[in-house]
Amino acid sequence: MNTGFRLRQIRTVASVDFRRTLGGRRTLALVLFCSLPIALALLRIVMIPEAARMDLGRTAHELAQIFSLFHLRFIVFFGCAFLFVKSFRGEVLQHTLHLGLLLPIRRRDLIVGKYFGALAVSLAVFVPATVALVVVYRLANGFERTLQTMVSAQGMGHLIAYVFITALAAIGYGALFLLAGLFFKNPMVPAVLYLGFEVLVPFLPLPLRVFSVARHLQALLPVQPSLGPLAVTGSDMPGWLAVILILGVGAIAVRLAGWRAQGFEIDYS
Amino acid sequence: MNPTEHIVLEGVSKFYGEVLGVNNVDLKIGPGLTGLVGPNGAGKSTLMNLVTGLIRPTRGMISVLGISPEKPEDLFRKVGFCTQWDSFPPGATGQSLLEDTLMMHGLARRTARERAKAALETVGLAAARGRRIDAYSKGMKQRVKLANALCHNPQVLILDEPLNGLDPQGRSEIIEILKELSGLGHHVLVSSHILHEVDLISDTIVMMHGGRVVAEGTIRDVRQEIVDQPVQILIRCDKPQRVAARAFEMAHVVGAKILDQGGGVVVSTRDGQAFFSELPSIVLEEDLAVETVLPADEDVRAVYDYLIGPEGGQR
Repeated sequence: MNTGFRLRQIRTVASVDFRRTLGGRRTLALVLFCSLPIALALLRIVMIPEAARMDLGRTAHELAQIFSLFHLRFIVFFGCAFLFVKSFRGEVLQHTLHLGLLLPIRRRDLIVGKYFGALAVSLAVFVPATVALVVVYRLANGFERTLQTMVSAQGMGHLIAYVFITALAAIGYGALFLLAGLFFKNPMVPAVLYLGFEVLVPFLPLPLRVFSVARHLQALLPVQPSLGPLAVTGSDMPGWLAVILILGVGAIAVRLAGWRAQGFEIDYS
Repeated sequence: MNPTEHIVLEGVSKFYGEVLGVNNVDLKIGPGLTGLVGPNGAGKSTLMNLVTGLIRPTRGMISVLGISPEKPEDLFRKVGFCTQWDSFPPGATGQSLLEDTLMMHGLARRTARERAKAALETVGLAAARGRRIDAYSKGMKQRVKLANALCHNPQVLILDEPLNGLDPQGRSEIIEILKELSGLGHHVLVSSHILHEVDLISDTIVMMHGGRVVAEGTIRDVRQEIVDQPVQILIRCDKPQRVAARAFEMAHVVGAKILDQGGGVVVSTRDGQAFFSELPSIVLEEDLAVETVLPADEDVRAVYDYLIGPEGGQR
């Protein structure tokens, strides 16, 4: 079987999964879930005194905090858990996985296709949510100043950085949750454990920190927030290394998932 | 035997922990229609899932036309499997389900659309192809599963209880499709608990019980191997009482039962050959008008009852 044909099959699996997931009712719930930080940003416009809102430095700092603590570690984290767990374990639960396993495709290619399908959905949902969060957060500074900031090189650079970090988070978390779906009947348990691991990362030995997606992502933040006890020490890492590590962790997780899928047996009981 | 022309299982066992799925199964299934029969829990679905690689054997070797089930990329070019599960992707229509399947086989979208349409027409779902499968009846779901299994024109078609949920007309239509495919030289393996329908369609049968294959071959071959059961022979004639009386004069005859309407008699004998050789003289001497002479227990139901028991409990 030639590589071109295999790539076409992977693309077909991804596009079918993308279409089925994005058209599903649960995706609407995910979109609403993603709007929580945006609602918080809107609330901030109303609640915070105008003098405080007009402070651009403070806005940038708070945005980094809400992005890092709430949007990334809660919304994107659990959003990815939902999407990537659904792509494999969800099919076991709804008794449809056999339809994929009865297709003339290598199982590891099927897994790669499912990964990219879920990744495409996550990007379609999280990237607009990130853009909306950044824009709405800055709206506190007034429409004119927001417009000026957003079109400035720094403002645009920050927006691109947040979008890039969101995409990398989906790549990294997504791969880990897909892998969890192949090993655990209830992957939300390891998901929560992993969240706990990310919280504890600052207290763990350095070799273990390599497996923390949040740590690598934090190294890429355009503004370093002060996160108190939930901080992960990532700023010591060069950005390019953080990107390579996340892509590396993602690739290893998808490869392991493919290996696991080779021996996977259908059991709907 | 050429393994590239058969479905072959050698010493295949499947255990789920302590629970037996199938035990030490040796089988080779050639082209034509093979009926897989047995009571619930006999191991029929397990066997089909093993052959298609959905589960893996604990022991033994399986190949389908020379291909290992561990290579789905090769296997499912030649195999279609209509499973026991009635679940479909939420929101999928019959047309979209088949189109997606066919595109995975490498067909362009346009060709896939045409082939999907044709397959749905074959199973009688042309009018409903654009409707969501969630809204299909049980019988329609059976049909769309069958269409999904055969849309890529597989050499081997494996069907787990394909007649379940179908009305009599639907059954007859599906049976015709299966007969046509087997007539074209395809391998069609069908599991069913509807024995008289298996009887109608099968060239050979595989009978399972308790995870083991208890018999395989043509119905006649299997029946002839059951030597501890007298052969039942039905004779429809104008003087069944005379036939019964003459039959009881033969040492090998162990019983004779006049049919309720009196138009025939079923003779039970331990030596069918001997009875058939003596029957012409009875006909001449008694001046009988004979309508038919048929083996009365050369069918799946009878063989099933002899080997497994009428309630599915092994003898």
